[in-house]
Amino acid sequence: MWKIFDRAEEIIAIIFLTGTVTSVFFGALGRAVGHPLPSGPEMAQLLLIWTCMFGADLIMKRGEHIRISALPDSLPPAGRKALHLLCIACMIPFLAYCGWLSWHLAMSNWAREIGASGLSYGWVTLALPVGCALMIISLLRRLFGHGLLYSIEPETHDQEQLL
Amino acid sequence: MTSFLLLCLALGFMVVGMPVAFSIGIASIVYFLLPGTFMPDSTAVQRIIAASQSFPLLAVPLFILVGHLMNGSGITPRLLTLATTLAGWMRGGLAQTSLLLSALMGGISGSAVADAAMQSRVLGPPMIKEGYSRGFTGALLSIGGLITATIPPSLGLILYGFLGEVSIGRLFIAGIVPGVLLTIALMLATAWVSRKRDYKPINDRLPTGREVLSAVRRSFWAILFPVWLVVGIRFGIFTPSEAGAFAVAYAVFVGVVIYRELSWADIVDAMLLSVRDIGMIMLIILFSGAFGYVITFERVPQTLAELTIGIFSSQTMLLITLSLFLLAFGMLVEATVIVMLLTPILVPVITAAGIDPVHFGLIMMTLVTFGGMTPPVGVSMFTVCGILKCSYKEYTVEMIPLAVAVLAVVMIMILFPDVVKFLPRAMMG
Amino acid sequence: DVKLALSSSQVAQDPLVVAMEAAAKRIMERSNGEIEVTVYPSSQLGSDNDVLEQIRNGAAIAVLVDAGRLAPFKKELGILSAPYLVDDYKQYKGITSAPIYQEWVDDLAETSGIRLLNYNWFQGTREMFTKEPVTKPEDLDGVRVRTIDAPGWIATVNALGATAVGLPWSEVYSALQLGAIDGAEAQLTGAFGIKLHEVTKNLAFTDHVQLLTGLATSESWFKGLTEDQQQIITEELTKAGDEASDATVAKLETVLADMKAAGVTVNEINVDDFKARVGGVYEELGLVEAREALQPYIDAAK
Ligand code: NA
Ligand code: NA
Repeated sequence: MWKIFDRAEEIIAIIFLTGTVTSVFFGALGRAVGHPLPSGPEMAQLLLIWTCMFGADLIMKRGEHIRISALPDSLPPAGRKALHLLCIACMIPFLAYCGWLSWHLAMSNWAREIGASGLSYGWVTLALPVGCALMIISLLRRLFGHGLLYSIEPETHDQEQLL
Repeated sequence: MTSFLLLCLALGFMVVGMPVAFSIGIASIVYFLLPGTFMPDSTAVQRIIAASQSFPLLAVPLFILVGHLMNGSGITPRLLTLATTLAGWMRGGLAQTSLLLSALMGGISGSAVADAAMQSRVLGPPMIKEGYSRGFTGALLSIGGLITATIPPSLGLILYGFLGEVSIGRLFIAGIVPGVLLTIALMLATAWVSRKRDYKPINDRLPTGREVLSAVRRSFWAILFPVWLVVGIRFGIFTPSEAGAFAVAYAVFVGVVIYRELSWADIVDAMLLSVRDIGMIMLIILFSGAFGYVITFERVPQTLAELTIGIFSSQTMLLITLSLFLLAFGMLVEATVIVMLLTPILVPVITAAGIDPVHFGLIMMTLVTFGGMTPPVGVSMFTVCGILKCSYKEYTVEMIPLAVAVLAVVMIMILFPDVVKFLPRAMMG
Repeated sequence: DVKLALSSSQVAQDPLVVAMEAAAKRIMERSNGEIEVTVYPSSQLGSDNDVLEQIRNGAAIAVLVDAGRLAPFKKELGILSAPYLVDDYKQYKGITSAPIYQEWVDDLAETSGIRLLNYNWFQGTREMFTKEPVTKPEDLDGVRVRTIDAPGWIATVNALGATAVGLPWSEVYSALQLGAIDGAEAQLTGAFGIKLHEVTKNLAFTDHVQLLTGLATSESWFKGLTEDQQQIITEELTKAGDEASDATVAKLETVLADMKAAGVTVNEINVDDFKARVGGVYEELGLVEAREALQPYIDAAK
């Protein structure tokens, strides 16, 4: 069951990213040849936030969000567990509150338009509550599936990062 | 005062190991929960969402995707052949090749860590087999990534430009000369180490014209890429924010149609890896949106600008002070985090002092990215040492001559601003 | 104690922001320090649409917006930024004193929670800045012109004969410099602010929109004030709008001279040729009735 859910999430995320790239590409191409697509940049930005939220959840599932692990790494497992518990105790309420606020924001401002396309800005706003809900689920799954020790960090420390 | 306490709170969360995005996000929402804040709490989430609704920011996911597409498209091995042909005859041939490869990759990839990781897998084992010490191999491959990050395109410069509202096109063009200077300086340092240690060349003679021509021809489409990127931006085919989308299309085209190495599965793989990277980096950017609002609302940049202008009489002194601070901070904290936290604060400060934000951007990004290659905390260092299995201590000792070269280039950039400012002025007015 | 934030997308040196600062001081004095007003220029609190959203959630902010931003909440108000509505911005006084306008404003407050305090901040008349000279509507054929990313503005620019491109204002300079677009429509002061004269050398006084803006704030917050406080805020901010408009008009002359000195050519056009093209815009946006309702007041103000 979770397997299907996880795979579906990856596929949707890839579709969002593909949509972002093609919207920017054809938006620019259209303008270069004199037929601008007014909704190109808007679609790109709409799909971008959805890509981000799904991507953030995929990383959450792997416990690979960028963090400074020097202090927890220097502690015995019990100490690390305590610090992780503190983090999770702050992260879940934060996600829940953000999700609730942004859900409310999306619903109460449905009349706001994205730009020339006339699409509701609510579709942009909606990405945050969905992302928050997904991340709460993933955080809980890591907590119960991998234990407190590996809830917010991966079992192996070989992830690569940017910049 | 409030904002200082919130900054401490965010740093405190980071120290106990909370993911950076959440440390920043939670600290900012605390501000809105304070009784003295008269903004509604929903402003916080609105700022988080608004952070994603910026056209220039689209460049970040696009260039992340380009970086991942490179690996499957057959561009990397062709550039390696070219670099070997051009630099293999020098003393320390493999080491010099790796630096030249970083410069060639720099025109396509925007990430220092990605370059260092790729090179550690491709060039690391052969270098160690040739008798290079593990520490020097690690330090060289890691710091070589700085060249890749400085030559346009550059993810760090995109972020800086986005957060500081500085023209990304100008930043890109301004990165060319410092990137070349870094290549030269690091090659000189490597030559010195190679002479001392007697690291051998890999070719016993200079390449013939025919060999160079053949290597250039094989990697023609890959070399053309950065040229085409700068030309495209310069002649208005696309804006710098859109360049990434064309880069993606180009990488797919070259990989699928010309080199015929990029399979459907490779593309899907690259996209999945990209989505994850985008989620990781963009969540920090998004949650920082709320933090930036707090800083603006509390008028931190203005206050800081007024303070510093009184203290520093010369631009050079201000730049040197800021550089020392960025270097120290960069050694301790991850580059993305520093860019997020400090760009919106520092750009108004240096602009008020009359310093060109493009000039400062290059200095800041070089130092902060370099910080990721130094102990005690450095993502590039961790990545490379992890792949090569070299000790941090050996890495640290061996990186000293290379670090001197990097800092010398930064000093040149500070003392002779025209080194950075000349090219964008000549090309873009 | 009452706190109010004033938000504008204009820079700190702009006459509008200067007038806001002056009003902030007067409000503070008149209320004996009871009302504390802080001005945030350069969209520091977020884009106009973001700030409007905050306002709808009850934030104590007043933002300077053109009516196009309010149109999604109250369609009829969109007419205030429709093309060739009036010949001179002073005729807006006639519109804002019309009972039908008051009805729209009250409707807006009731349905969206946005209270439009005034609509008298003149930012200038929108003109056409292009790379190639424009002397007649046909010259705009296929010319990619940047405009505000909202349905009304896009319809207007397309109706004039150009191809509308909805790019962010911050990208306009580099897009023109690099040739990604061929022109931009803007008011003189705004154009001068982003140095448009460096990248477009031709200016046509198409005068297609009198760009007036107004301060919108939160209805729930405003209702929570005492009557005295409401009066102080309304009066001072409306007065500031008039001051800002006068200062803008005074500045237009110098700005035009500076632009000419920078090498901008003003091309002779017949405005009526352009005016004849925009009739359809009112139909497209469903504003025909609103225009008829306002016409007597506009005529009376002439
Ligand atoms: Na690069
Ligand atoms: Na470091």
